[in-house]
Amino acid sequence: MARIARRDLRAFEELYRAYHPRLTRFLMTMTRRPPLVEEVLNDTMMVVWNRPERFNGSSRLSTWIFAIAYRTALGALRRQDQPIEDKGADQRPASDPGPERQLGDRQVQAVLLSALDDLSSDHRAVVDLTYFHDMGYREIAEIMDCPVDTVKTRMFHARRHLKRILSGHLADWL
Amino acid sequence: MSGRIIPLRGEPHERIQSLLPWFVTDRLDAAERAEVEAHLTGCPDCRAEERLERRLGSEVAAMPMDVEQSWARLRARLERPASANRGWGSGGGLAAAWRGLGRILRGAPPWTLQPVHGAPPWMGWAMAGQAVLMVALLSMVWPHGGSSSTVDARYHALGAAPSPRAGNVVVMFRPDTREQDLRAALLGGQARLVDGPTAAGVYVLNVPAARRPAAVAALRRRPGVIMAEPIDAAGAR
Repeated sequence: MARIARRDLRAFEELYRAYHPRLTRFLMTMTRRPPLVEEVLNDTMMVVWNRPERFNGSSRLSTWIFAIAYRTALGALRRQDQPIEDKGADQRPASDPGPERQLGDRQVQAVLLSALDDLSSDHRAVVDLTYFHDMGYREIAEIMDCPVDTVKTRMFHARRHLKRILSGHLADWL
Repeated sequence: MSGRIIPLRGEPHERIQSLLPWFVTDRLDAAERAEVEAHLTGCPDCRAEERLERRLGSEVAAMPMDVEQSWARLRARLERPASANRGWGSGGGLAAAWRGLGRILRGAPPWTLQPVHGAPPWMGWAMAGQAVLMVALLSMVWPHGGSSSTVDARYHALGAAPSPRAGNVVVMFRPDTREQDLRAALLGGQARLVDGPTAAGVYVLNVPAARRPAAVAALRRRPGVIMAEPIDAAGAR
């Protein structure tokens, strides 16, 4: 970051390439819109390039960058009228898995993808940061600028939803 | 064990199960981890939840992401300067675009960088993104001085003649702006839409050159306008 603060473009390129896969994954899961992923990712990295002094070392660099990406994605989703936080998700009955979802184990991931689509972007963000990026709930709370209990609650409801959708497969898992 | 969903049974099971996602990814502190381990030793239901949690986490982590098309487009953007022998690190097109953005951010008046009154705090970040798009759009619509510009050449080839209207103003409206207000803003400034809106909400306009300062000023006065800025040298302050 010190090199980037000195406007070292090669250092920025290294950082860009290092974070591109992780941010792509996170933004893809969160937004579910590939064209938006490109734009938000590059907007995020432009903020890093132009505001390196805002990283003061009080958090991990990844936390800072993911927090920028999260806020940028929220802004982009709001402009596209995408639901951010599905406040009614907890009360709404889970989708019946139905015969079309009674699939073989090899199709679990296809079902997972569909199940994730039912979640809000906030819930998907927590799931992705937890399972894929191996982040703790405190770091996720910092990224999403919310209390740690909110992270736990979002994760709890996301897991419950996923388990419901995948209930036909759970016996094989246990 | 069946595939039924195990209901929470209150404390301590609820607390333990709320920690399981981070237990299986080894992201709990030592005290929390010891608490979970101690509980799992004597609770078959929560152990079943732990097994399910490990499987669920691994399935999500292994989930394929259809990023190939997205990456291909981004890579094409990154490689565009290199194709014009002005590489990524040599101050070429992308670097120039970044410097251009930096100038916008450093030199722009406060209203271009700070959210309008009442706008949410993320607006400032979003506006940085808008500035990025402004630069990107500039590269498409700004009449390039050099004849070697690949972007310029592509546009001329498609149209067989210079575009009758080049963008000379960029504008961003508040997300809740009504269509009739947007239309009134364009008509009032004798502006025609050249490009946009992008996913981030930026429009590129063409207004008659003689009245562009007045048109920009009029746009800025409208309550629904977050940003309005001339985008060529003649209009830049």
